[in-house]
Formats: sequence, C-alpha cells, structure tokens
Amino acid sequence: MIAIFTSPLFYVFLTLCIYFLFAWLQKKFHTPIFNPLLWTIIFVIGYILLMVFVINGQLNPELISAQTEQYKAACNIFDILLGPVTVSLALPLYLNRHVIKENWLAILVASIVGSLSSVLSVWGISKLLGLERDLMFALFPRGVTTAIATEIAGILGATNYASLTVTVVALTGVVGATLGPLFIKLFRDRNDVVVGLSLGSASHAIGTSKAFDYSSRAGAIASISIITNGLVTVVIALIVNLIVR
Amino acid sequence: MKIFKQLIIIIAFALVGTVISYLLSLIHFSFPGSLIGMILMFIFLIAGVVKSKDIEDVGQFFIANMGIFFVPGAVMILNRIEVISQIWWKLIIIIFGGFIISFTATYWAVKLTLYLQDKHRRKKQETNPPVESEVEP
Repeated sequence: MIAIFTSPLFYVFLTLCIYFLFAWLQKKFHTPIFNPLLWTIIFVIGYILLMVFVINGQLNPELISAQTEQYKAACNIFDILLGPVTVSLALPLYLNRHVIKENWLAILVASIVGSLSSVLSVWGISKLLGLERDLMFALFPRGVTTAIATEIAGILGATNYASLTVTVVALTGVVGATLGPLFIKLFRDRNDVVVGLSLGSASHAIGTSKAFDYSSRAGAIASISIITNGLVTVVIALIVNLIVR
Repeated sequence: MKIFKQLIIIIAFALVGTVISYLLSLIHFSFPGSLIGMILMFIFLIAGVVKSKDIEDVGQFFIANMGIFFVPGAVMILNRIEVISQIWWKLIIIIFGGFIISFTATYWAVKLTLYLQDKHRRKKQETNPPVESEVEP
C-alpha cells in the first residue's frame, strides 16, 4: 500500500500539485514569498524524509539518498525538458525587442556591472568567510536566471553542487523581489529603465515580475536584462575557467 | 497538433544547439548547447524564419512555469545536506550581501549612464540645433 506513495507517478503528481498550489497562491496574493519553485523544493524534501522515516522507521544518509534518487528518476522528464525550456527564453527576448534599440547602452552597462558586481561580491564574501572553491563556484551565478545559472555552474565544474545553485538562485530571486522595491523607494528614482534593469539584473525572473508592477516598459526591459546579464556572466565564467585551469 | 508542432520546433533547436556545442568542444571551446539553441532561436525569430506564433503556446508555458523544471535537480540538494547544514549561514550572507551589492551597483551605473547620455544629447543639440524646428511652421 505504502508503495503507491513512493511510486514514480505519485511523485510526479505530488510535484505538480505542490507547484500548482503555490503558483496559485502567488497569483492570488501577488507576492514573491509564495515562489512555487522554492516551496516545491521544501515540500518535496519534507515528503521524501517523511517517506524514508515511515518505511524504515529511521533516517540515515544512505536511505535518504536512495529515496532521493528514486524521486529524481520519477521526475526526470522535467529535467530532460530543461534544454527546450532554455531555448524558449528567446521568445521574451524577441517579443520585447522594441526596447533594445533605444536602451542598448543602458542594457549593456547594466549587464556588465550587474554580473561583475554579483560575481565579485560572491568571490569577496566567500574569501572572507572561508568557503571552499567548489561551493563558491556553485554560487557564482546566484543572480542569473536558473536555466543559465546551472549551465554556468557546469562551465565552472561545480556540477556536484548544481542543486545548491538552483536553490540559491531561487532564494536570490525572492529576496531581490522583496528588497528591491524597498531600495528603489530609498534611492527615489523610479525611471522605467533604471528600475527594470536593476531588478532584472539583480534578481532575474522573480524581480522581473516585480518590475511589471512599475510599468510594462520596466518589465520589458527587465525581461531583456535577465538574458543579457546571463550571457555576460557566461562569458565571465568562461574567462574564470580559463584562468583557473 | 499545434502543441506537437511547437514542441518539435523548440526541441529541434535545443538538439541543434547541443550538436553545435559538441562541435565547438572539438576545437576546445566550451559553450552550453541550450544557450546556443536559444541564441539560434532568437536569430531565426528576428530573421522571420520561425514566426513567434510557431512556438508561442509551448514557449509561453515553459517561460511562465519554468520553476517546475528545476525541482528534480534542486531536490538533489538532499545528498549534500551535511555540507550545507554547516555553511547555511554563509549562504544567507552571500544571498543578501550579493543582492544588495549587485542591485545597488547596477542601479547607480544605469542612472549614471542615462545622465551622461542625456548630457551628451543636450550638448549635441546646443552645438547644432535641430533643423526641423525652423522648418516647421
């Protein structure tokens, strides 16, 4: 009987249900706090731990690891589609292309400053706190949209911690979309270009949905900056990789 | 039918990107295949070879619900839980610190760029005032 609750189909069902619930909550209450990716990760992890405990009456790393692999195998279909999902990022870039021409310089500056300051801040804080190199590389793309961030972790050889990259990127998005508007209030200037580029560059897709609250133009500019910022960070990662190796 | 067609087009671009990425790796240049696919898709959209309506439904679904595709990868964090339980507070500092630094830097860099662009534009107007204003009645 319990086997049903750890079957592949049930895992897919559970993932869809939790994701749908939080996507709905996020839409209803219009707040980044209900970020569906983050909450789905938390609930699925909780569920896996619960199942390990219910089945075995104890929690140990090997049992947890086995159950996690079982989950991963069940939901692999989502993982396989990541490539096509990344290709789809061309669509917002294309649909918002009208804002590129008039703001290309600001977009370029934001992408370079945004990705450099992000990478350097991770490097600096990691050195200060004495974080090991693999972990630091996994955190390098923390401000980049998840699809590009996992590729960057791959370029830097931090695939062991790709799961950490995804989680930290999602947390950055939520923190950014929550704190960003407070900073904008503090800095006072609500210019579409400034708001769109700083939210998009520093907190990717989740920040972009906040940028749409200011104006549709700010949202369009933010949508562009997610991708340009990601591509600049890829270039930085390629250079870092050349130097390190 | 429409969904099938759109899925096929999008997956084809992802695969072509992977092939190009492999070919590039032969000359010791590594670049992620999915990003090559994305750039190719953008070029084809601009060139009008692929129309946005050819990929719109599936593409918008993928974009709007991107998060779910990362869940299985992220749940694997359970295998690294011993490491992360020791450094979680460092991660929090990096998340907050990194955001504050990169947001502030980007915000003021863009502001400065706009200010300089504006100044440059005005200077240009001063040296050669727009002709149209004189022509217009």
